[in-house]
Amino acid sequence: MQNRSAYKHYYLMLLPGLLWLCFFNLLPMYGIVMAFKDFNPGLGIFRSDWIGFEHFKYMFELDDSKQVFKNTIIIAVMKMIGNLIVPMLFALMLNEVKNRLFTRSVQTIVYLPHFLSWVIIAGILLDIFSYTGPVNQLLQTWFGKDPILFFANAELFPWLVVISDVWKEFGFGAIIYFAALTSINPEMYEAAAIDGASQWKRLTSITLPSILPVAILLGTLSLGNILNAGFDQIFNLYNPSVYSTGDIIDTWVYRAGLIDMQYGLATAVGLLKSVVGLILISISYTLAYRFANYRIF
Amino acid sequence: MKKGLKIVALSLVAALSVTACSGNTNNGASNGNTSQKESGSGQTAVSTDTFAKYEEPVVVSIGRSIDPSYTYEGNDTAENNLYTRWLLDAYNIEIKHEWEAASSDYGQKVSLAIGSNDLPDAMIVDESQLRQMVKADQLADLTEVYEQYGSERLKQIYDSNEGLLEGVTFDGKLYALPETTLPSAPLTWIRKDWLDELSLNEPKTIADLEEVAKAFIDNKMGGDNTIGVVGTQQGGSLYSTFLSSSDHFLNFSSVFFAKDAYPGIWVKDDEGKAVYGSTTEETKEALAVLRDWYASGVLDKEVGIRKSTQEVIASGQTGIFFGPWWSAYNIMDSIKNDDKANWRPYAIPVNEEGKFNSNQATGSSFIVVKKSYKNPEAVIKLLNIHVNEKEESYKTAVGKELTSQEIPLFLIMGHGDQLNYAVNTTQKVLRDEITLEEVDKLNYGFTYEIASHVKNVKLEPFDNFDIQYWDQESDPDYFSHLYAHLNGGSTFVNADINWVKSLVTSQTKTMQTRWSNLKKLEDETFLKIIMGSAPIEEFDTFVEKWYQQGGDQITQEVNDLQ
Amino acid sequence: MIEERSLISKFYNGFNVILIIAITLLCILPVWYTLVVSLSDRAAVAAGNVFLFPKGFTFSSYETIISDSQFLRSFLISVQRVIYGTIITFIVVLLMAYPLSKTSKEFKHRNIIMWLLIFCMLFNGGIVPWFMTMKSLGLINSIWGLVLGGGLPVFNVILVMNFFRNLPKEMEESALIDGAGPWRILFGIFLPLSTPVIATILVFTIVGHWNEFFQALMIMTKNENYPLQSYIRQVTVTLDPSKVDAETAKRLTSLSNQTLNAAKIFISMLPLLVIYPFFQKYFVKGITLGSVKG
Repeated sequence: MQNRSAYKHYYLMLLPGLLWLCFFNLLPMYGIVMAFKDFNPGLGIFRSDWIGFEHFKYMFELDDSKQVFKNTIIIAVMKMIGNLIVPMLFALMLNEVKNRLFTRSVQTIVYLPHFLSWVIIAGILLDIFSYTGPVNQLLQTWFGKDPILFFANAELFPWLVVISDVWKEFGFGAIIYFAALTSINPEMYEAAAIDGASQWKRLTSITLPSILPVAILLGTLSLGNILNAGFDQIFNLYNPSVYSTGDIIDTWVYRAGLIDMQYGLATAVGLLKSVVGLILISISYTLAYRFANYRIF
Repeated sequence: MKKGLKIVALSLVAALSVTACSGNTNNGASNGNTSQKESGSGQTAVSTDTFAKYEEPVVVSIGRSIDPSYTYEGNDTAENNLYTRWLLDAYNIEIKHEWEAASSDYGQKVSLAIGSNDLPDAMIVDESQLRQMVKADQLADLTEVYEQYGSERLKQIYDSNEGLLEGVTFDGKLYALPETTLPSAPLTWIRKDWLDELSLNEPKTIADLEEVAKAFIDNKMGGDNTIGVVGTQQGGSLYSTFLSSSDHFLNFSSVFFAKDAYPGIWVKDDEGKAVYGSTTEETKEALAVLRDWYASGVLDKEVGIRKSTQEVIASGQTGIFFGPWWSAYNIMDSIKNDDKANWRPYAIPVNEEGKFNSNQATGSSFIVVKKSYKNPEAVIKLLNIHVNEKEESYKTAVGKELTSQEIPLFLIMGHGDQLNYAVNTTQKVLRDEITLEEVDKLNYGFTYEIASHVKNVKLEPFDNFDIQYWDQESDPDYFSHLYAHLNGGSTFVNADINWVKSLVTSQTKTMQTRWSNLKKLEDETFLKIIMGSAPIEEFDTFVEKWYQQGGDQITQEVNDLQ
Repeated sequence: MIEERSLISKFYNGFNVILIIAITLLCILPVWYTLVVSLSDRAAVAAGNVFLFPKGFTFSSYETIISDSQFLRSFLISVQRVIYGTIITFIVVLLMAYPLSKTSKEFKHRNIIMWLLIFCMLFNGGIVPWFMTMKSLGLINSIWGLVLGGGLPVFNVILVMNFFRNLPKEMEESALIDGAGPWRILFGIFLPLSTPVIATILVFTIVGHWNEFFQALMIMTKNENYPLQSYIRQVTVTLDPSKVDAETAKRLTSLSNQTLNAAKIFISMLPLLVIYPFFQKYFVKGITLGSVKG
C-alpha cells in the first residue's frame, strides 16, 4: 500500500545513521587490509607490501592462537549456558513469592551489578578474593581450608570469569523471564489448583512450558556471541599465570596489535574472529526464522 | 641498574647553564638557526656553540610520560613550569606537548603514535619501539647533528659509556640518544630489628635466608599474616631482561644470581656459545628454590598477582625483599608506620663459592627524533643543557630542584662514579675529614647538596646506619636522600660484585616477530612452576618449545653477532 | 493431608525467600564493600581487616576529593559525554529504526541496509586505523570523538526496530488512510507508544558512555580531558615496579591510596545507581518487547 514516494523519506530518516556508520564504522575498515600486508607504519597501510596469507599461516603455526581460540570458545559457551539458565531459575524462584513490594525491591537490587563497569567490579573482586581477603578468611575460619589464590589459578580462572559474569548479568537477564511469567494467564493456575495439582506440578506443566520458547529463542540469539568472551572483564582480571586458560582472542589481539606492535598478525586474528561471528549470526538468524518464525533483525 | 643515576641526574639538572647562553650569544647567533646542512663539510666543529640561544623560538613537540599524582608548584604543569619557561627564556626552545600519558599508559600511546605514523618531534621510546621505528624509517639520522651540536660534556658521557652509541647506530647512522647505564645490583633488604629480636645472624646463602624468613613467619614478626619474602607484583617481571632492564626492584633476580643463573639475558655457555639465560639448567635450579619457598610458605603466596607489594612492605607484614640501593626511598612509609622498622641492605645471597653475582643491565630508554623534524639539533641542545654542569647551578637561577616531571625528555645521564663519590664524600664530610668546600661542586652538584645537609640528619655513631641513629624530623627532605645514599648506597658501593653482562642488548631480526610470544611462554611457565601449578619438569618442555618456536633461529642470530 | 502439604509448601516458600534474599545481598556486596573501604581508616584497609563494616570511620577521603579539581573536571566531562551521547543516539536510532521496521516488501532496500549494519557491528579495522580516522576527522581531544567514536549503536537500532515491528499494524494503516506521511506516523503514532524502548536504549547509552574508558586513553592527549572512568583507571592502576627507578622512587612520597580510590569509585558509581531505578519500569518493558515477539 505504501508506494515508492515514501522511499525518499525513508532514506532521509536513515541518513544521519548511515553517515555515522560511514565515518566511524566503515571508514576505519580499510585497516583490514593490514591482515594481508607487511605493515610498515612509515610507509602507511597502502604503500606497505602485500604478503598474502603470511599472517594467517603464522597464526596457525602459533600455539598461542589455537589456545586463545579454544579459551574464547570455552569461556563464551559456559557464559552462554550460565546466562541462559540462572536468570530463568531466578525468575521462577521470584515468581513463587507473591508479595509485590518484596519482588519489586529484589528486582531493583539484582539489576544493580549490570550497571557497574568491569574496571570497577574487577578491582573489587580482586580485593575480595585476594589471599588474605574476606573470602579466604571465611574459608579459613569456617572450613579450616588453606587460602586459595583464586585469580592466579589457571584451573579456577575460567570458572571465576563465568561465575562473575553470570552474577553481574543474571538479574538483568531475568527481565525477559519476569515478563514472560507475568503474561501467563492466572486463570490457568487457578484451574490447576482446583484440580489439586501440586506446586511442583503447576511449575512443570504450566510455568515451564510457557517460558521455554523464550529460553530457546534467547539461546539461539546468543549463538553469535560464541567468540565474544568479554574483553573488558578479562582485560581487568587476568595475569600471566592464567594466560593458558584465560587469554581470549580480544585480549590477545589488543596485546599483539598495540603493545607488541604486531599489527598485521593482530588484524588477521581479529578478521578471522569477525568472519566466524558473521557466519554464526547468519546461522542463528536462519534458525530463529525457520523454527520460530522470528526475525532477529 | 641503568637508572640508579637518576638521583644524580637531578643534580646535573641543578647545574644548568644560565651564563653559558648569555655569555656566548654573539657566537651562537650565527649558527643558531642555520641547519648543519648549510654549513656543509667545510665546517670544523670549533666554531659551533653548542649552547647558543636561538634567535627565534624553536618549537619541540614531544610525547611525554607524566605522573598524575605529582604536585607542581602553583599553577605549573608538565608543559609549562620553571624549567620549560627558563628553556624558552634562555635558549628560545619552546616545549609543546603533542600528547601526554600516565606512565602506565605511556608505552601504549607510543605504540599508537608509531603505528599511525603520527609522531611528535621527539619522544622517549624503549628498545623494541626504537627498532620498529628504525625499520619503518621514521627517525631522523642524528649522526651529524650530534657531531656538530653535542656538547663536550655530552660526548664525554657517551664516550665513558662504552658501546652505548654503537647500540643505537644502524647502518652507520645514529638514530637515538640512549640513556646511560650505571651498575646496580639487587640487594637483600631485611628488618634488622627483627633479626636482633630473634638473635639471628645476618644470612649469607639462600639457605640462611630461608631460615630467617621462616623464623620471621614462625614468630609472627609482622602479625598473623607475616609474609616471608615478597617480590614481583601484578604485571611485574620475575627478573629484568636484556630488553627491559630495571634496577631489579621488587623482583627475584637475587635468587637466580645466587644460583649462577641469569635468566632474561644472553650469556655464554661452557663452549663459549651464546645461550639464552632463561633456558639454562641453573635457571631451572633457581626456579626449584623459588618453588620450594612458595610451597613451604616462605614466598609471598600472591606473588605475581599482588596489586602492590610496596603496600605490604609499608604495612609491616614482611621483613625481607629484594631491591637496589635506592629502595631506601620506598621504605619511608614503613618507617612512618613503625619507627622501629630498621631496614638494612645486604649484598647477599651469595652463590656456592661465596660470590655475589649480578647482571649488568643496559639502558632501555632512548630519545628519538622524527625524520621530518626541521630542528633535530634542538633536541641535542636540550640534552646538552640537561647534562651541563660547568656553569652556575640551575638551582641558583630558579631557586628550585626539579624532577623528570618538570624536565622534558628526561634521561639519566652521567659518569659511572657519581654514586661512589656521593657516598664516600658525604661520609668524609660527616666525619670532618674534608670540609664542604672541598667537595667538587661543579662536577658533583648533588653530592655537594646532600653533603651540606648530612650533619643535620645523621647522628653518631657515624658508621652505623641503623634507623635509631638518624634524625628524621629536623630535615625530612634530606633525610630520605641521605638515608638512601648512606644506608643503601654504601652497602652497594662497598660490595664485591661479580658482574655478568648480556651478550646482546638489542633485538635480532627474528626476535622482532617471535620474541613477544616466546617471552609470554617464558613468563607463564616460570610463574606456574613457582606457584606449583606446573611440575618442575615443565621447565624442560618449555626449553624444547622455546627452541622450536623460534628460539633456535634467534640463538643462531645472536651467535652470528659475536 | 492438606495440612502436611501446606507445611511443606510453607517450608519451601520460606527457603525460597531466604535464598532470594541471600542472592540479593550478594548483588549489593561490591557497592557496600567499596563504601565501607572509602569510609575506613587507611591503615586498617592496608592491613586487610576491613570487610562488612568500616573501621576507624572517617570522611577524610571524601574531603580530599572535594578539593581535587581533576576529579571534578573528569566527572563533568563524563556528564557532558553522556548527555550528548544520549541525545544523538535517541535521534539517530529512532529515525533509523522506523524505515528498517518495514518489511522488505514495503521498503525494498531494507535487508541490504540491515546486513550492512550487522557487518559493521562485527568487523572493525583495528585500533590504529580507527585512531588515524579519528585524527583525520579532527576529533583528537574532542568530546565528539568520545560521543561518536564508538560507531553507530547497531544493537539499539535492532531493539527499537523490533519494538516498532511489534506495534499493532492497524494504527499505522488507519493513519495512512488519513493521509499521514512517514514522519507523522513515526512522531505522531510510534513515538508516543515507544516510551519503554526509548527509555531502554537511553539507559544502555548512558551506562555505555559512563562506563567506557578505553577510547579516551587513545584520543585524549591530556589527562585533563579524560572522562571519569579513564581517570579512575589511571589512579587505581598501580605502578609497575619494573618501571620504577631511583628517580620515581624519590618522587613518590606515598603509595596508592586505597581508601581514597574507593571513595572515587563510589562516587563514580553513584549517578547510575541513582538513575536506573527510575528507568526500571520502562526498560523491563522495552527489553521484553524489543527482543521477543509480544
